[in-house]
Amino acid sequence: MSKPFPFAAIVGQEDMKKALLLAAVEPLLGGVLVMGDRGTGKSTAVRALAELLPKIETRSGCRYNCPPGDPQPACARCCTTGTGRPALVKIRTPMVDLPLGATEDRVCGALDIEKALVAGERAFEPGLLAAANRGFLYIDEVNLLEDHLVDLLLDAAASGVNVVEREGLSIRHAARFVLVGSGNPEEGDLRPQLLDRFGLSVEVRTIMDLKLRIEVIRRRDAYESDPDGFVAAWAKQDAAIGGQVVAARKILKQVAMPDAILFRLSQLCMRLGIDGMRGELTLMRAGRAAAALDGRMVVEWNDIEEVAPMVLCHRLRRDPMDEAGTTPRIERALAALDAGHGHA
Amino acid sequence: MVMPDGTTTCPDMQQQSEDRWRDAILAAHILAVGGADIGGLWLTARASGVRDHFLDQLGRITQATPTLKLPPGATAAALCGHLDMSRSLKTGRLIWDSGILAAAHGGILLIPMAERLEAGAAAIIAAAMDTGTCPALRPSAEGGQQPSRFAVVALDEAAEPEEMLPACLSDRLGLHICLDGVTLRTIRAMPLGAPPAPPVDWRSVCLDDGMLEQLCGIASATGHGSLRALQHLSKVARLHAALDGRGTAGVADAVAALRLCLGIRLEHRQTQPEQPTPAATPDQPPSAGGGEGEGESGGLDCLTELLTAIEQGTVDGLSLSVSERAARQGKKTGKGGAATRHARRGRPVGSSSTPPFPDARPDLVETLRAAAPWQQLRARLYQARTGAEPTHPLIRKEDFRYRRRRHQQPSTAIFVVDASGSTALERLGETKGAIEQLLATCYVRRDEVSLIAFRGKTAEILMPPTRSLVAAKRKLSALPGGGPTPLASGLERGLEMALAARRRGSTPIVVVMTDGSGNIALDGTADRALAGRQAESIARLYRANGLKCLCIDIARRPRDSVATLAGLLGAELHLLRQANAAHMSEIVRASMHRGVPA
Repeated sequence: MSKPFPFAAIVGQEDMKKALLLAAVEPLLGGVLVMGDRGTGKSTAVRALAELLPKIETRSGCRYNCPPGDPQPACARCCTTGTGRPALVKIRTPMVDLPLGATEDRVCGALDIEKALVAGERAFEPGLLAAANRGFLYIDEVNLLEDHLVDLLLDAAASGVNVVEREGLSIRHAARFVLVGSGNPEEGDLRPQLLDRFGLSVEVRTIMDLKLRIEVIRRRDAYESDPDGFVAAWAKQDAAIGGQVVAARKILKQVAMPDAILFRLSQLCMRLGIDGMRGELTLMRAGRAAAALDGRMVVEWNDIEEVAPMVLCHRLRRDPMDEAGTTPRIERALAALDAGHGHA
Repeated sequence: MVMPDGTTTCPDMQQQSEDRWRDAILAAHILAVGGADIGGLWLTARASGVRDHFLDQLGRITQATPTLKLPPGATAAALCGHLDMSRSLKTGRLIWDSGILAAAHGGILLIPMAERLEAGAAAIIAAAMDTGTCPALRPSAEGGQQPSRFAVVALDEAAEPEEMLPACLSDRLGLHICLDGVTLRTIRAMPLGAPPAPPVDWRSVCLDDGMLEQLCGIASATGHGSLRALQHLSKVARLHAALDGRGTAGVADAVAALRLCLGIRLEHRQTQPEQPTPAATPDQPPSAGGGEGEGESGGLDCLTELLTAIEQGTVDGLSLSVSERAARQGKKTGKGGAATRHARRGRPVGSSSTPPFPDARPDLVETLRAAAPWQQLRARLYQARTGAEPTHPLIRKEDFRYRRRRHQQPSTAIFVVDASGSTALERLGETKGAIEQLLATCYVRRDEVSLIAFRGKTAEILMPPTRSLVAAKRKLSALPGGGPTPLASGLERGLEMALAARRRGSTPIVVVMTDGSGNIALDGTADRALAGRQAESIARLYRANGLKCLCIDIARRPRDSVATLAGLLGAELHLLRQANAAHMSEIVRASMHRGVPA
């Protein structure tokens, strides 16, 4: 398989790239939803992201991506002790594509029916959730996916554990992954309950700037003519972004969140009438991740302003009669907050 | 069939037939060189001798091996490889079939009846086209990513606007060819020898920025905002130049690319006398000197001409590209109405010995229960055959049981709205409000809403069935009103759409909002008597098909004509003196949720 298109070479779509990097820095954000027109590089960006992240360590043949020091009880391979224990390997950050036609068995894993019938053995066949552990799970056309599957995915993404109770099996295994969904809003909406579960949401539009459009075509063409050469030419920029993410992950825990900023972001959420605490919590985490990505140890209000639209726009109550999108409402609220703050 | 003097009787049709056939053959040559790099070919044609002939030619020109035909209803497992259950049971070890996508590597995947392709299967094919590898459905295959790079030839036989290629696939296919109107005579009359292998590698053909900008402008002006369309254009232009043996893509190549990718061409009749260049380019395969000789300035003028023509709307083929390709979005392909009986989700209702849908997973407990009574007998047979005691339960193919499920069908509300002058504009506004309110809640049950308005001469589908509020708002923003009342036409459209919705497996509910009788017949003439008879006979068809209808009288005073219409339709009659969005949506929602009429 040829290497995916380099992340750094994607033209424009800064919001989408930023959201993906934030999710890579802070997996607790709860996934990214990318909605937008066709052919805007949604899939390309997601596939490219896994490539620039550092490799993870596991044991060869492990189907659950167990960390070598902390094997899961469900994984028979990593739990073997003594000489039979498989060797350590480094693998690329898992990037699992969930095809639309996937069934529940394939997603969660199920009794290995073939083994059961042919060998008379009761074994668990891990699904895509196990394969995505410690990596990314990408669903294209998430709004066309069957609802019960979306529920299941979001539940696993939120809890970090996949529980299988079926056909006489009782298995729990870790499924800590960043869920990335993409889709075209013209094909149907997601239920608000589901929207709320995605941490970040960005809207991508086709680039209409002529120069940029041509640049996209040129780069894409260069990539297709000589994938390896193109990837090599961009390797440095990709590595720089990868390094930024690694550095941000290291300092993330130490990034300080001043009380004044916390106070203001609560004010912002109240002003926008956002239900529940998830909005505030995610906004705080995203702000911290943005600061870490920038290499700073203290969150500034600019960080919050930058991430507020992607954290909040899908959490606003939708008014079917409101013509304008939700992002302007957030910008207005931010501006009002600034004005109010200035007077105080 | 064609008259011997066909050329003299209808030169236009003859010309069109020849042009289309020439384009089709040109597209085949381009596909032969471009292969998987331009995605594939979208072929709009009904099954016919012409299409078969073209496919033969395509096979001869591309020399692609293998050329695989996608079986109808191919499932994810069939595409990506699945377990061969009977062989596995026989041999006692797991035997996997390689899927169609992996088998098509290096060749062509032919998708017959592509408009019926399921969204899931289309997404899998699209993913394979993007990554060049077959999506792994079984996580057990350790790193065993099978390469699968292939060009797709999608045979689109769509007859109705509701049927269409899944958008994720049509967006990835570079070439679009239509064979409608090509006569067998044309094919016989035009012998086409295979051109020599391209002396130029198309990747090295350069396309300058000015040309690319022009292409970009034209693509955007025709509603092809997607960057994939632009990418295909640039590739096809360069391939076209390479086929002609030139190292630089000129204007002729750009014009050809626009024609082959997006179906954009100047109208012959209008342009031939005054602007011979663009119309002439397809006719005479431009020689190497011809393309260069036109020079940059003349060439760009030609494209500017095209852009102006597009903005004025005087371009042939726009209806094909703009209204269809751009509007071909947001649709699911047919499920054949089997959704209720063979649902994939929902409440389990018993089990059966045949899989409810291909790919279904056996219900293990039921399977073992079905096999249990036979064990003693089979053990004896097994012992007689092999001389050994069986060590495992003996399961045969006929023991497999599958769980059946049932889930509620979604509904499609079809609004057929009188937008004529007799109906006040505010009612239209309220109807829009009602539709948006319905949509705001319809995600719960995956219901769809669509809108047909009739005014002036005919009815028009303003919004095909959708459950997207975004799409609805865009389409409803400009709903014109005024003019006479072509009721019959409106009812006819509503009937067609309702039957199409039913075929897709959803329950249609038609909401007719009118204030009286029609005065325009189906053919657009103002003949009140004929219009009345036609409306009557169509209304009877609603009843005959058992469609659920609501008739809303929106006149100031209730009229007998509406009551009569409701009787003919077999509809519930509601009077709505004050059109009120909330009230209207409440009535429709109540009847949607009451379920299917007996």
